Amino acid sequence: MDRSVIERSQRGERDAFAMLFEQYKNLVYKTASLMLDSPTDAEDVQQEVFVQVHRHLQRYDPAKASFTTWLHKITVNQCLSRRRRQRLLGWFGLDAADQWASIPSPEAQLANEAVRHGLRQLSDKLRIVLILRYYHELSYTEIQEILNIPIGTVKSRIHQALNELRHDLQADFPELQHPSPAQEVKA
Amino acid sequence: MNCLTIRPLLAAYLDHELNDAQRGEVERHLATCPECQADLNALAAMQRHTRTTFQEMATASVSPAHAWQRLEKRLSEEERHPFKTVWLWWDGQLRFYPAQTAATALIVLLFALIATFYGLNGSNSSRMGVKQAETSPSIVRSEKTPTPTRTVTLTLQATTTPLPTGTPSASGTVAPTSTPRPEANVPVEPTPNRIIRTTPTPSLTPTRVVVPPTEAPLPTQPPLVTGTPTATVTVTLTPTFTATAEPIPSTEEPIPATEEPIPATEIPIPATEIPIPATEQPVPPTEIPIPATPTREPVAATPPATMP
Repeated sequence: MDRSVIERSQRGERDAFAMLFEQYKNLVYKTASLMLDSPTDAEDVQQEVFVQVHRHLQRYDPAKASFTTWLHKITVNQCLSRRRRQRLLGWFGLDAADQWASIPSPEAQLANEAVRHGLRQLSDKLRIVLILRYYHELSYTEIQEILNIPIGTVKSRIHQALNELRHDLQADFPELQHPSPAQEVKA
Repeated sequence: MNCLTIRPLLAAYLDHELNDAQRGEVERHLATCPECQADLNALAAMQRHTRTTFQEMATASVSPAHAWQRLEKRLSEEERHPFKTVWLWWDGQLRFYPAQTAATALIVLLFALIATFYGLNGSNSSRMGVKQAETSPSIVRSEKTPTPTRTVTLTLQATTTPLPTGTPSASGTVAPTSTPRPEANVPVEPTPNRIIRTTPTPSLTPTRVVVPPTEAPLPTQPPLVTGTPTATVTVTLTPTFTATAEPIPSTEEPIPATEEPIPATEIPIPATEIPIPATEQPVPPTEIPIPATPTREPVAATPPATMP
């Protein structure tokens, strides 16, 4: 992203902020859609993220972090907040059904339905590290900065998330078979 | 390093997130351990599936076309009302929330405090007492004691018209000129029996008008009045007189004797023609023949009677 666009947006120029939105709208929306399983919630999060960006853009310091990292940080916080709200509504029986499931999927999507189901079973903190690492292809250092956790925690969460997924999916994918208990014990 | 220490590093090894020393250790172990090599292959497959699935899920989700229009509308709204957000502590973080959310939280907190206060102090109904309805000077309705028998004092004000010089004749008109205010949800009930006593000028004979009961008597437990009931009854008689109305408990009240015995004329008025409670229907003027009497000194008007 051109630094001047951010600076112009910081000065309050609406057309520059429109360019900023156009540049990053998919990054935010896709993170939200992967995290929330709901197009409506993803759209709401996208709106809320850019409202926050517009509100706090004056405080953004390029020397401290890249704009993408800063934007990821806001997006992740909004997604986690929305997930808490989803769970709260779920406790009262007000949560909407998984709306992605109703979207017509191509054959390739149907083949990976088991993986999608496994991803949905993960906790929020494990799911978000997988999204940041294997969809956005961020480094562990960037994930550490976004989630504000030690890099060792990033490693252990990725390891834990992949192993939980593999455990859930090994019935559908023989190549994901765990080592036998004896092999696990063998050191 | 053994398998238990190598396996937690395999995902980072595949992601090229290990330093050179760790990478060397892992590669040396993998060269000698087929189980860890199988585990590495399974993890690599899992990473491929995850990437593919994320890509497919993301491809299926497209940012809405109207997103910028929606955002621009909201940003314009925020610029017009920059203080519509407040800081709130929620979800363990201090962050901005819309003012509506803050107001809702404040109201809930307020209700919780009130409920706690009344819960601790028991049911004290006097604290939640209903505000007594204000009444206009025309109608005074007292509800001091919430017993089934309530005292209702109805005072009718009358306007007086100067006596025209000329023929000593009198005609009376009793008609309401206004209805109770809309907020007064209880219409003014007529008194069962009402006497309009007139104190005539020296040139006229006093007239005694007996108003028969027109409606059912007042209920013993009338509903509470929350508004300001107002009714103005204009009694216009020619010549000048002052009219007061009061309920008669059981028997007719005798008219106080004046200097000379004055013949009283009883004129029954049909019940349907005195819509005092709340109706707009005026009572047609009733001609009251008043026998002419010799001219005398003016008699002071009788003060309006009041009920205890």
